[in-house]
Amino acid sequence: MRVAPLALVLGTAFGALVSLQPVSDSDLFWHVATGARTLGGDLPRTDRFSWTIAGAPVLTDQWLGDALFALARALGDWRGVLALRVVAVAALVAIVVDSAVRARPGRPVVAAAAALPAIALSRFAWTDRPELLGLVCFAVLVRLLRGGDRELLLTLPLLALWAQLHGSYALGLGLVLASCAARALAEQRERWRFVPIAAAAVSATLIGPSGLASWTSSGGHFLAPPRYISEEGVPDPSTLPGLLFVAALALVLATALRSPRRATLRDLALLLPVAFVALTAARHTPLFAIAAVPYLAERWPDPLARWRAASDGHDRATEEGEVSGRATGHDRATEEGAVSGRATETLSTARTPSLGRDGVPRAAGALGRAAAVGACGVVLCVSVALASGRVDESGYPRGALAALPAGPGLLNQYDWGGYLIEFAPRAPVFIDGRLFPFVPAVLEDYRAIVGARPGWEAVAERRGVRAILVRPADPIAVRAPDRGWRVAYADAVAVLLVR
Amino acid sequence: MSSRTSAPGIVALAVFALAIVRAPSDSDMYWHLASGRWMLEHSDILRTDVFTTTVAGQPYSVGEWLGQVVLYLAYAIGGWPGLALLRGLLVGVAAFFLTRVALRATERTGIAILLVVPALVLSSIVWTDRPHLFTLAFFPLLLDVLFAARAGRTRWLLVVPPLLLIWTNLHGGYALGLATAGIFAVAALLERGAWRAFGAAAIVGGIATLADPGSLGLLSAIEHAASPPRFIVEEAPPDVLRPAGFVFALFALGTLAVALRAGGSLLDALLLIPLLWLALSAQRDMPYFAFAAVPYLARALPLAAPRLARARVAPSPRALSRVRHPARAVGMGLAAGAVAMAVLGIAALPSGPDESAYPTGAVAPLREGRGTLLHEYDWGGYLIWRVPERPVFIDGRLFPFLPRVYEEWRAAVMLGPRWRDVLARHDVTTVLLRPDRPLVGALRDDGWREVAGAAGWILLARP
Repeated sequence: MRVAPLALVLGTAFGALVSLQPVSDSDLFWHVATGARTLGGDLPRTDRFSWTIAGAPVLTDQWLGDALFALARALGDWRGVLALRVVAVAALVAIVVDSAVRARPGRPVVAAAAALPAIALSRFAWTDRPELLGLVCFAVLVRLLRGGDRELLLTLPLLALWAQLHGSYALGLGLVLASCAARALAEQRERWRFVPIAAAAVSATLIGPSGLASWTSSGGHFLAPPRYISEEGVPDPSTLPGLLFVAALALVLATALRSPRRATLRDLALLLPVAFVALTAARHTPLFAIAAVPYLAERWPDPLARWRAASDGHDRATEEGEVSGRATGHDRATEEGAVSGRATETLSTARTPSLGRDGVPRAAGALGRAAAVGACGVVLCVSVALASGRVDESGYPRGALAALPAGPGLLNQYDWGGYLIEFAPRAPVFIDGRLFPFVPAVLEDYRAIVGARPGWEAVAERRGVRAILVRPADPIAVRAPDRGWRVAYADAVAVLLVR
Repeated sequence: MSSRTSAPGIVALAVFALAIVRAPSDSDMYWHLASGRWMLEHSDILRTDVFTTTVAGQPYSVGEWLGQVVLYLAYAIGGWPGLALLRGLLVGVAAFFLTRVALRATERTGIAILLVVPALVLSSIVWTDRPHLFTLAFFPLLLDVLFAARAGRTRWLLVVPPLLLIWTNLHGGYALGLATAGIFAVAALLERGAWRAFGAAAIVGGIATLADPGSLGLLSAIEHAASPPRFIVEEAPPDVLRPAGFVFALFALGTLAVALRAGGSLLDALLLIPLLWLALSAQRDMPYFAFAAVPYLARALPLAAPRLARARVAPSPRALSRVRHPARAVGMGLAAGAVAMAVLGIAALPSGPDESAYPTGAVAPLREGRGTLLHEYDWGGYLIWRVPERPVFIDGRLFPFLPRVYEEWRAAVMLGPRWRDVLARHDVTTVLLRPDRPLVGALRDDGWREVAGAAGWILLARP
């Protein structure tokens, strides 16, 4: 797969930039701990980190994602995790920009502008979790779904891999099925061929240790997102990510309203389901911006068109031809899948076999591309080497670790569960970011105690809570000392209360 | 009378019937009524707080003095049924003009009705007895006027300034009307249409909105729209996995789908995009996006789905003569049905409010007690109306309480680190809360006495 130079440059730039962000995501730690067990040949199918659901079944739907993060940690400690993030972000940005460049060849300004909302919005998902790998898979899928039959077939191995990395594969499966349906509707001949592809896509997502359970997990998560977790909340335009999402949505709507050229059924099959998914939860909003990139790149006017026309009369004719084509017969051509790439392919067949599309000898072109990729790799390696390889623990109860009692009985802040799994393995957690195994019984008890609701003492007694590690502003941190709990440790971040 | 002529009336009657059978229950309705009563009793506009212990005497304005007066007049004249009738009337006005707007955009009455119905269903989330209802009624009215003017009847624009003058005194949503008039003016200017007429209407209308003695102020209205208070449910962004949010999502995605397939005018873009942002900012504003989307969808849907358009074969005169009478009969049947619904609705008018969500059992003991009362935010309006002897701590007027009183209220009820200080500073002697509030457990442990209680509330008094 060739990548446009602009995509390589921007991918490398954003990859290098993201190395400045320290490792600190609270969920990373339980992903790494889970992955480490998988790498040791023991895929964790039951819980081993908590004392509230110890031995209960847990999901294995992200086993490969977990294993990759654990492998990165094993190879390079936390710097290895940082390196994985840098590579993933570089790949994500490169793919997104490349999709834009392919949608609008020869117009790098338009392509970069179209990719900008996606880059800006996805920035909030550049965290050390399998979710980031899922985002990369999604960007690849968007690109593949704009291609022909060969690309549609390539979505099958992608789905098989994605289903092992992150639960977002379910959206990918839905889009592949929708794309098959849209193509079957738009095309007149051999429609039957989409049936086995759709069936294979469904089957591809069932290969893995979770089997059908990964469907129920993703479906349940999508239909009933836990709103009390901020990233699972609805998109809020009064926040920066929410504002960027609304801007992306507005850009697509404005482009659709004012573009003289109709969108294809394929565009609809991609944009509408992703728009709905994005509206369900803030964490899904980058998906819409990524999905919209090729559409925006294709439709947006070229701000340099006049300058080009002045400098090159031929270009002007082409631009005008493009515009008139949009308004007339171009719709039908696009509808039938005759994407610009095909036209380019036809042109390239007329050239001398030893020359590439740009007229440069193929061997020299390959060498140049390899050199460019190598240079980008060097930049990314240097940025990782220069970055801090330590975990940013400023938001975690680092000071309280030594005072934590060993063994079961600790009730911890939800957000600190993963951190404690990694840094205080002697004290199993009450709850952590895996969430679903704890719903509803453990979560309800957790909320009753941390919220100091009437009857919290009875709940703590029933659960056998011996120590409570929470934030100073949590109601229980205010209430428990009044009820005889001793403050064993306190600082600006955390309070440890012992019965 | 053709189906196109009678459709707005039929839809309005049906919606009127559906709207009036609901018993009044909104928590903000009570303080609006109390404010209206105060203004009529004192023949003055209420400019300072008279209901609370926390901001008593402080100046404030919610910019809705006339809306509150009208609301109270409806109550004073007709009691609770009078309030329900006013609600039905305003919702009916909204339905009438929305149907007209839809019919202006398409020749197909069926498509128009098909779009109007879900938009009205979505609007039912704001069928509450508040001045907000005036915005619900006036927005489609304004759209009808502006679309008529755009179609060449520019004289209709004379309606805009007086409409905005009344609207600004009724409800803060006038800002939406002013912005809409401005958008039509900008579109006319850019499209080289009748921009002078539209511009004059918007400018004179803007000047008219300044004539509000209790104005909330345009800047305040914009600030409210830009950063709605998220802790109030109706001010939260829409949740598309809930019924109302799902209907909104259908409109948003339907608009996107039709735009992708059929494009649209400059006015469509100028109108729909800001309203989409507004709707995504706060769920109470979802209906306005749907209202604005209705004419666009009605016009562009056949273009987006050409098969649908082609399916309409021009009937022969003979076929028409066969069909006309049954069509007229169906129209008359629908009209009769709507009238029957309205009559039945009036017969089933609620005789009193639905107070099942309020601490009705606490009213009597509260009247007997003394001292500062701390209570649930949602019950402030109810207590203002039912227990005027006991000033409230906080209520749905919100703005006078931001940020200090609200923060204190939250710190006390949610057991923040300063909760004892808050109770002491305000000398709170009585607490009326939901039983699962952290403060309830803490006060019980501190020996506060349970005066009364039920499943949804508990009344505690300082020992």
